[in-house]
Amino acid sequence: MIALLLAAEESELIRQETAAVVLLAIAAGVAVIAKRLRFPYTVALVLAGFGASTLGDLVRVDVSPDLILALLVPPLLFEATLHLPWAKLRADLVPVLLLALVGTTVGTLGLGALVHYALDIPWAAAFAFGALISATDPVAVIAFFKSLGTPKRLSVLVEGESLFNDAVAVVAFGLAVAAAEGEAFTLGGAAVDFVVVSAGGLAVGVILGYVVGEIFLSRVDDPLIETSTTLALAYGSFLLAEEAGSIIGEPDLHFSGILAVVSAGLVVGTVGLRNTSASTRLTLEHFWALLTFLVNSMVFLVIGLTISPSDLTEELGAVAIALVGVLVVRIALVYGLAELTERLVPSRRIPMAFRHVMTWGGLRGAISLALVLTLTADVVGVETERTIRVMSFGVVLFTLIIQGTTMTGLIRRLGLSGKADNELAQQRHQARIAMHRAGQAEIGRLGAEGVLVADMADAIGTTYQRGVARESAALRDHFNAHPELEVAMLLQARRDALVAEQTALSEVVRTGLIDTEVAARLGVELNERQSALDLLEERWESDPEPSTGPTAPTSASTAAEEASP
Amino acid sequence: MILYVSWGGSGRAASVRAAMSRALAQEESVGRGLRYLAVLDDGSFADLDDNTLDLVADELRWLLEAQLELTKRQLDAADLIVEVLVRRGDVVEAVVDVLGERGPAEVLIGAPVTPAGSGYATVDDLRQALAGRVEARVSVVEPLPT
Repeated sequence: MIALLLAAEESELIRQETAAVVLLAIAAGVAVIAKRLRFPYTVALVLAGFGASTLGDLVRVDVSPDLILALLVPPLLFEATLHLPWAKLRADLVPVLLLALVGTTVGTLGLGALVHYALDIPWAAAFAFGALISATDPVAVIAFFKSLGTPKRLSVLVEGESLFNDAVAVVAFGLAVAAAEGEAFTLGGAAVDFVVVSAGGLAVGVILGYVVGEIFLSRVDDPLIETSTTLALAYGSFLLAEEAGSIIGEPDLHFSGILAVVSAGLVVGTVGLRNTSASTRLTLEHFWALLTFLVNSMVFLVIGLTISPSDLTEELGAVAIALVGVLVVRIALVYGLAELTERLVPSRRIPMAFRHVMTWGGLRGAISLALVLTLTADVVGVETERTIRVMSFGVVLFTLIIQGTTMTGLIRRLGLSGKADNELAQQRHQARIAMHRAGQAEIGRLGAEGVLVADMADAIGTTYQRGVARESAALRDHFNAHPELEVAMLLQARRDALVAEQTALSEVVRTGLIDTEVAARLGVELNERQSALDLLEERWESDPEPSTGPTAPTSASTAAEEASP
Repeated sequence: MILYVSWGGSGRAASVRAAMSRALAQEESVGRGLRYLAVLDDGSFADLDDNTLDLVADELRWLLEAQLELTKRQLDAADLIVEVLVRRGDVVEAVVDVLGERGPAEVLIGAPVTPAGSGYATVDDLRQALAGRVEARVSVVEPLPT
């Protein structure tokens, strides 16, 4: 009997492993095709998931909602925060928090009320839907931003909103489900719970992030160990926050795991990375890029595998109501809160073109899907559970497929696509110069080692030198013809130089040439210089639309820095 | 002497080139040179604390010095005297202060493309405001055609 059970378990394990391998192969294939066709990768994965669902057991992976939330979501959030510069986020904290806190709360209530009155869904379940569908998923949108070279501020606004609204949505969803389960619900109680869960999650993340970033990463200089530690931090902060109550003997108490991951990632990205060497940063970059590629592939394939098109057609009316509601609420929130931002912080005005992209870019994805799958019939009833599930699937699908595939056109139409042809031409010249130089260096090495006859090495080296000179002249002409590229190039050069200075500083510390306290101070200064450069670049990306009207001149000028070169 | 004025943290390369060409075309007797005044204006930078503003000013100066050096090479103007000044606050007040401190100069208003941050709806409004405050000739620089 035991042997039979073991055999069955083993065969189930092999089946799951086979399914995972097949899905990975599909993801790789989809990635290649999507890249070639310039089609949004995540959308292609969802469509591939639809197709793959016909393969039955071969691709059946038992993905529980808890698995998505606890295993797949933390690395996605952590990676996003790791690359979100705090200086930029801090500059736009008001609009980001308005959208995440006010936007998600108002969205939850508004959409909840809509489906309650329109579809007769009980209040608690309706708010649960409102909360889960308010969580935006920036993965697909950010991929477009990167490939199109849109202004960085737009990415920060979209990513910042998404990171924090995920957390708010999860907390609000938890409160609504608790109410649906019959727990006593009062507005005041919910507000207190909300603050406790959020503040607890933030605190856990900040403390762990600080311990890893400031204490651990500054004392260890090993790319593999440091990278592993960041992985442990991503999952550890999530688990510790979620299980905090059990650890201190209060099983009912838990904090927001998502907020813990977000804050831990922000702290490590801000204070931790400056304590790492260039090689560690490179390893971290590659590791997290691979992990997010794998996780994203799985998440979006699973979305396609989970959603059944026949379900959608059976509840078309409910899906349409939800969809219209989601779009209307999004429009009202983005434009309304952008206006409010302008009144509160005039210098952080959100350009109209950004507002259009932020509205249409409010895609829904993994978090909404994971949350809706945790909603069970015994809590909200069979019919309600089915309606909410189908509405959520419909909204996720519409936003991913319709909004996702039209984002590129919108960004281009609004003139936010930064990488113009002349910028790409500049990159081609630069790449050719780098390639020629690498070839020239290698030939020089072979000549010096005697592997190549000296005359031959000289001849080839001279040919390479001509190539470098030719490309350098072409690059110079290109800059003369397109002076607007100069500023971006200067900024990039300065940024590269600061990274090199940081690496040099790490090197002199490693060799014991300077005191660690001196190094720490210089490290902070370099980091602050990079932040200042980020700020400058961000303000440099001028408002893409003309100013709307005159404002009174403000305070008198005061002398600042000045220099005579 | 040319006083080229930019704000919003920006220095459009085409305008800088045009300003330097104007400086090169000046008579020796009026002092051939280019003073680059970059104003970290309240409209774009008022939310930053003093420490951050100092660093931003430092980085801006570094970038502008590099940009002017590059432009000098492009225009074969190695001997031209150039100077970078970074000030905070209102654009008009900054120009008035600099002219008072450094002596007369023809004022050229440059970047950015949109006047957001300068406190005026259009670049011409700013030009008129400046013209009402200083004796020097004030004009808007036309980017050098390429």
